[in-house]
Amino acid sequence: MSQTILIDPVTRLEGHAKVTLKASDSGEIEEAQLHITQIRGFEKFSEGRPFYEMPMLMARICGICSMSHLLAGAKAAEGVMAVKIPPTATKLRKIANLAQAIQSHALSFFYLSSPDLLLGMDSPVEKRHILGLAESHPEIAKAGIQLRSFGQSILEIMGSKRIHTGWIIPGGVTEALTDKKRDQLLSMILQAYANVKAALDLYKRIAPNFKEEIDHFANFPGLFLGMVNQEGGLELTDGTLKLIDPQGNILIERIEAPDYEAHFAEAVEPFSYMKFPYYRKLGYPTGSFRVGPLARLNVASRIDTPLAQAEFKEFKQMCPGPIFGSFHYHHARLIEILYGVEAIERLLNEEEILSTHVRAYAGVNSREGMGIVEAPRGTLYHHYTVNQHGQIEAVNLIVATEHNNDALNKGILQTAKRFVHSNHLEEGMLNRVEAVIRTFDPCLSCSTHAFGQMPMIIELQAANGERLDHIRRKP
Amino acid sequence: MKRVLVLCCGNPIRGDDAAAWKIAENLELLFPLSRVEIVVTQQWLPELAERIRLFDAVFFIDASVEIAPGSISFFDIHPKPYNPGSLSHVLSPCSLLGLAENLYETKPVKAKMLAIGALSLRLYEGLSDLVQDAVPEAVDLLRREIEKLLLIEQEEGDSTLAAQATPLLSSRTNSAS
Repeated sequence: MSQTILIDPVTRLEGHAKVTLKASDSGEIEEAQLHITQIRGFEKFSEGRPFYEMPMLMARICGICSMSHLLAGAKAAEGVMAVKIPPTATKLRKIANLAQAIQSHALSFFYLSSPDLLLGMDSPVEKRHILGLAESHPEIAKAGIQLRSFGQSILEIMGSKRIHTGWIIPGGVTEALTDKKRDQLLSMILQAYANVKAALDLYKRIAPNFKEEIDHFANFPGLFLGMVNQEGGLELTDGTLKLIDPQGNILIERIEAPDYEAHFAEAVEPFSYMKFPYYRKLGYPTGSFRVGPLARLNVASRIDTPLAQAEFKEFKQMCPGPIFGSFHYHHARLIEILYGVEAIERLLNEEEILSTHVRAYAGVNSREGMGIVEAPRGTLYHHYTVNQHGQIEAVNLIVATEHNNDALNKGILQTAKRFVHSNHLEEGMLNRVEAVIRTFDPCLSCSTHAFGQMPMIIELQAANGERLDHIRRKP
Repeated sequence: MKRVLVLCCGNPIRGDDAAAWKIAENLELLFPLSRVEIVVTQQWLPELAERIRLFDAVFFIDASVEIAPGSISFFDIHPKPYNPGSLSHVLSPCSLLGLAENLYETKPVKAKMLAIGALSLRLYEGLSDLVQDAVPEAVDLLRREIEKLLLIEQEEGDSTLAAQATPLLSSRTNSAS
């Protein structure tokens, strides 16, 4: 008889989710669904607010990637203002975005995923978290904590707060960088280099131990979307979008924020509150694509900082075209951290970074504005429509993790088919299904993490709902 | 120079959970940044272990539902291994000390917890009268404790300087004779 396996909640993720696996009569997994169980309402309750409040409001969507929403919101508001912000403000915002990427990637790799990689996917659940890692691998735990602290400290020094800073506003930033703050930031750079290099060395040593996971964790051909600069290099803040097919051919490029909705649309499925964006020309689901660190390194032709470029060249040697296996998101994240540290150092050493001209001023000059930025997890899009007084009439947000929704569901199914046997459930099976989700580092918009033992039940149900088997993880 | 770290935890839009923030505001007026660092945060996070390692004395401040509303509990705490049942939102001060000890082989000479009993943690801004009335006493307790520590450091610093000065005086005296 057919069976349903429910994993609720999924752990070591940002947000709330559950997974349903449906098995055939013979016990083979046939179907998987990732249910996003939150409704936030930001698009609705923003209506009527003044447009210049939006960056601060939207930043509250999340506590980890709040800077991304702040930036996308500021850019969309600047579309309403029809202004170009001063060059120094552009550079300062780039530093902030890179710092955020570093701390977010550090959280994802070191806190959420490295326990699996270093302690093993089947290791005891009560040890499989950052504090367990501190016992067994103190140097790596330290590196992770310091890298996260490095990124957060930059945001705090520049914007007075680690999260939800009020420093980024429509038109630029509220205050310039002083030389004292600049020197304080530069003093932290050396340690950050040491930490990310240690992590990269370690990852490259241990990754070969996970051949099964590499082969079966969301490893399938697909489209990839990411931001690039004018020369086609990796860019997280001020670039244009590029979409490639599984062979690496460019489908569309040089897409700016106002063109986004001409090329991309959203589908809806009944089992989740999160929508499914797709490339219009290919329709849904064929036009589904991946975003985030792996996608960015697939669409980029180079990285403009030397150490990260060397790592990028080595990374691309894995195969001639785009890399499909989502396990490699971990590697891509570490390369982006290295790029972030290098780019921040370079920007801080530019003379213009201390200029006091950091803000442009304007009122409502357009009835709509759009902003795109690369959040740590992928492409983020904000679109605001306003009335003549600048009050919000409509908001459309397409967030990074949403872009990966279809790939997440496909990835869970692929992983479950390989590792879950419904006639006998084991904790390691559960963890692998969760681990493939973690490769995407989804941000499900409300932070909930547990160190090792969030209460969880997996149930194996018969078609008539009768409970056949279960695993319980006690709180 | 030895320094004191004060870690204040709470959510400023959840009623009495803002008590630690209020205490922080008051302490910031009393002590120079060079001697006492005050951090306000919405939750205890592993990154705080990196700060803890740099200080000789650490004070943790938080609202509590386990003691009577408006009451204050001020006690020594010690590093302990993590609790596998912990949620990251309630990572304990003792676990943070344990993490700092584990990672950096260091622990503060003095670590204390100041808990202030909360009446209500519902969504609103502002403290209940009971907690508002308890804040000055909490600030005073911390002030006295921190001043004692800073005075000890001052005296130790003076003794060290005196010890370093004596040989110099002796050599001058010897050369004169």
